[in-house]
Amino acid sequence: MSLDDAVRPEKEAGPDDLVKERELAAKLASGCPDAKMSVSNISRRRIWLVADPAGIRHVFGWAKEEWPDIHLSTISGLDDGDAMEVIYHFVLDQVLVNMKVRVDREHPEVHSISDMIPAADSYERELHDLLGVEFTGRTSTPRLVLPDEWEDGVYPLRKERKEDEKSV
Amino acid sequence: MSELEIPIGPQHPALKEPESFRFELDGEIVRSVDIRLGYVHRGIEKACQDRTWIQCVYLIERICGICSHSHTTAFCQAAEQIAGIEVPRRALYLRSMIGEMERMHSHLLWLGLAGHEVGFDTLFMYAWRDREIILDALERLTGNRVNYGMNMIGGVRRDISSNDAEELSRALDVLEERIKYYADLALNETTFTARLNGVGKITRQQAIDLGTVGPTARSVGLKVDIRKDDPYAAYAEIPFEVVTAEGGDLMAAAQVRIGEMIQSIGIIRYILKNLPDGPVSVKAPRRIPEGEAASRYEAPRGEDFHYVRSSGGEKPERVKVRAPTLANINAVAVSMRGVRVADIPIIIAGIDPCFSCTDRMVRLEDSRAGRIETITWQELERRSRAQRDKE
Repeated sequence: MSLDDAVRPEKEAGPDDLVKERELAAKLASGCPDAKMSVSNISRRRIWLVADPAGIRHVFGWAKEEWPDIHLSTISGLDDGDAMEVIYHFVLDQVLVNMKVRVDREHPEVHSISDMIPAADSYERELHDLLGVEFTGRTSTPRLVLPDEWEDGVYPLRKERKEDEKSV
Repeated sequence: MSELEIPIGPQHPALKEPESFRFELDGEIVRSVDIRLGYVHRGIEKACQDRTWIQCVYLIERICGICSHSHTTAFCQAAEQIAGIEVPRRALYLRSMIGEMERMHSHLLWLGLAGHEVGFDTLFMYAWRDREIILDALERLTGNRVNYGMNMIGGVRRDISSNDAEELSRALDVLEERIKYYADLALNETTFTARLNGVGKITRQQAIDLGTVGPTARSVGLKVDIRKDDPYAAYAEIPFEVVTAEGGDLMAAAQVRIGEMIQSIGIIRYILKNLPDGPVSVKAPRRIPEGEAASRYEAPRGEDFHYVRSSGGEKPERVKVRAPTLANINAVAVSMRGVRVADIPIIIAGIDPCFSCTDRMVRLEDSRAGRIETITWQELERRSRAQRDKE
């Protein structure tokens, strides 16, 4: 099949077409030096970044000043066996920024942003339920998705949990 | 003065994902609401990690009974992006077509429910009767009314015949008349407007802060639509308007949804007329190479977000799904403040849930008198209707 047969904006986008994304990535990195951001991948309307967990609040505080209509799509979490990854997916100027922070697997801890970005509240609670990521600075992290009788300290999305293991 | 507390749920309220609402009342006025989710948390994300990529498509189709195509499209797009699969243009057009048909049946469902919740059952019956037109068309094209099984990684599973296209086109003519009638009726009929105007209001700033999506965000004039902002499937090539309204109340949400149905008809007509030739799928590898992707889809209720990671195996490493309801539920909490008890059903219905549970209990607790009153959902609806009769 030729390229004409397929709509593949990512493929069709040449290096020049990603100017907006590159500029945005550079602006983010220079705007929040605390986060020590490094860009891992850029494609059409997507930026993938790795950041230092200590700089998270700085990033969102600064981004909210620059882009008042910032939209936090969600926060993903992932247990990769060695570390816990927390990925913030947010939209700036119609570009989806995926900012990854890696935290200690045994004591995953990252500062909450729900006081600055109210939308983060549900996503933090969900991640706390499923992966046991602690969001510090919150007054409380009530359960969102797990049942009330679910045992504390058991996190279904962690690697050691098997799918058919029953809750206790 | 102590306040009255009403817990609604967990297994109920008008939402297809059962939730628990705890309303704090001052007389008839809602002071605050506390929301608890998760009563139908089925662990689909975890289950995906133990299924092959192909099995995942079918599992993900079943996340939602209304916007099943939304979820599979978002997931397949992510997998295709990681694997670098070029989806044939015809398949992309067909994905958009089924997506718009889904949007229409979902919005007609909402319109009917909104009518029902405010005691306008004629509208409920009309809208649901007409929803059958689009469901029949979906069944003809895909074999199913819902859970169409249309998507696969690499394209779609069924092509559309010229016969089906003609029938769909005739169905659209009928629906267009009907939807124009609804536009007039829902926006000018006082039975409806009196219960929707100014009810369930959120401000533009609240909509931004709370991360609302879809018609809920567009009802405050925010021009956000993934089909335009981050085009997928064939939307970059299809002309259509993003429908917005002002005011942020339920009336604005109704205007947005009705306007969107008109747009959907236009989109489907464009697709039928400009459907590219060629295959509808390409063969996808059994193992998706290592990588990750974030996929966004404008579902009937708003942005559906999938994050997918592959470690190069037969099964995904991680599938994360954020359905639009989770993004919109906080707006419900905000818009509930200061409303009357009688408006609770329509406001919960306002973000577009599925009314899957019919006989649910609502407990009214009067902490002052130590009185607890348990009423059924029907009773709450009856009070809602009584409110209409007063107006």
